[in-house]
This record gives sequence, structure tokens and C-alpha cells, in this order.
Amino acid sequence: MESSEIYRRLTPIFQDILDDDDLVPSADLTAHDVPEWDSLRHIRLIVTVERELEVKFTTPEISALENVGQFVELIQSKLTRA
Amino acid sequence: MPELAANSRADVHALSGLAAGTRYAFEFAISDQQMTAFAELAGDCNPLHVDREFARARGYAGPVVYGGLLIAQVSRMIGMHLPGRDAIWTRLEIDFRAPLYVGEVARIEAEVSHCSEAVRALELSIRIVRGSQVLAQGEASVSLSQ
Repeated sequence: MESSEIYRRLTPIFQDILDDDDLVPSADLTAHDVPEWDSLRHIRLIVTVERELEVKFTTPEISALENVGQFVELIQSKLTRA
Repeated sequence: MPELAANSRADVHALSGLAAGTRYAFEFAISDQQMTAFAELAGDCNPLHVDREFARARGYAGPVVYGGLLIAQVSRMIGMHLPGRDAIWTRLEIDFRAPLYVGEVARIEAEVSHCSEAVRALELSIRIVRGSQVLAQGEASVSLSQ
């Protein structure tokens, strides 16, 4: 799956969970940039992405992420392997 | 120690034992005493819940069990059984479809619909049924402490 398609799939998930209809996830976006992005919403984001995109992550993979761009790369690597 | 606490020990599950498809169910009935206790606790004395004649005049078979008492059974499910001891709710969505009446036996069923090992979180599908009739159904999100 192209990264642009992953961003397209992630956008409504981010908007719903982070309560911001105008939010468009970009590569350099981090949790620090979004006030609503707390630890519980972070968990919901990961769970929802796993369900919607049918991928599974590990704790070290998630812990190592520094921004949305790395998250998209991780998703892309999972989907490529699948 | 209260009798309930003495008799009740939460189940303990490793995350690896909570794969999608894992299920648990139990039966319950709500008593008059529990209705009275909840009315006092919540301050909700709506006559549909506390006045038999009023409820009947509105087309119900009797006082309708509080939705809060059905959610209390969800709490019991999550906190005691699936997943049990290490659980904390983070979300609950529930639709109430039909009334439960005092003294009727109902059954609550929960099934793990998704398990995320990465963030130690579960999604549960929950149904409360009376026989084959669905009284309530919904979804809960649960985090598991280490």
C-alpha cells in the first residue's frame, strides 16, 4: 500500500479519536503537537489502526516511534510483509 | 471484610491468553433490594424504576431495571472475569434494546474482539440477553496494567 493511501486511511481515525475534524496527519506530526493526544487516546489510536488496517504491532515497535511518518513507515512495512 | 469481597477473587489472565475469540458469560438477576440501593446511590427515583403501577400504566410489565445496574454487570464482567484483575475500562458504548424486569434471569456474554499486545489493550463485544432476546449490546475498551 502506498504511503499516501495509508495517510488517507489514517486521517479519519486520527480525526475521530483526537476529536479534531480538521486534523490532517503529516509525517512530522507528534503527540506533543496535539493537546488531546494523551496516553489513553494513544492506546485507542494503536488499537483502532490495528483493527482498521489489519496489522499487529509490538510494544518495542510502538515505543520507538517518534512521529507519524515513522508510524506510516511501520504500517507500510507490515502490509508489505503480509 | 464484607462477604462479597471475601467470596470474590478476580480472575487473572496473561495477555497471551486473551486472544480474539476468548469468551466468558454468567447469569444474573436484579433484586428489589438492589433496585432500592441503586435508587439511593444514584438519586434516580424515576417512577418507571420504582413504582410498579406507574410502570404498568406506561406499558411495561413492572418496574424497569436501571440501565446503571446492567452496566454494573459489565463492570463485574470486566473487573472480575474478562479480563479480570488487571483491567481498567477506558471506553464503553452500549445500546439498550429492551427492558429487564426485577427478578428476571439475564445472561451477560463478553467476547474479546481484538487484543493489542503492543499497548496491552482489549476490545470486548458485550451482550446482555434474556433467553434469545438481546436486551443490551455494546463494546468496551479495556487497558491491562502490567
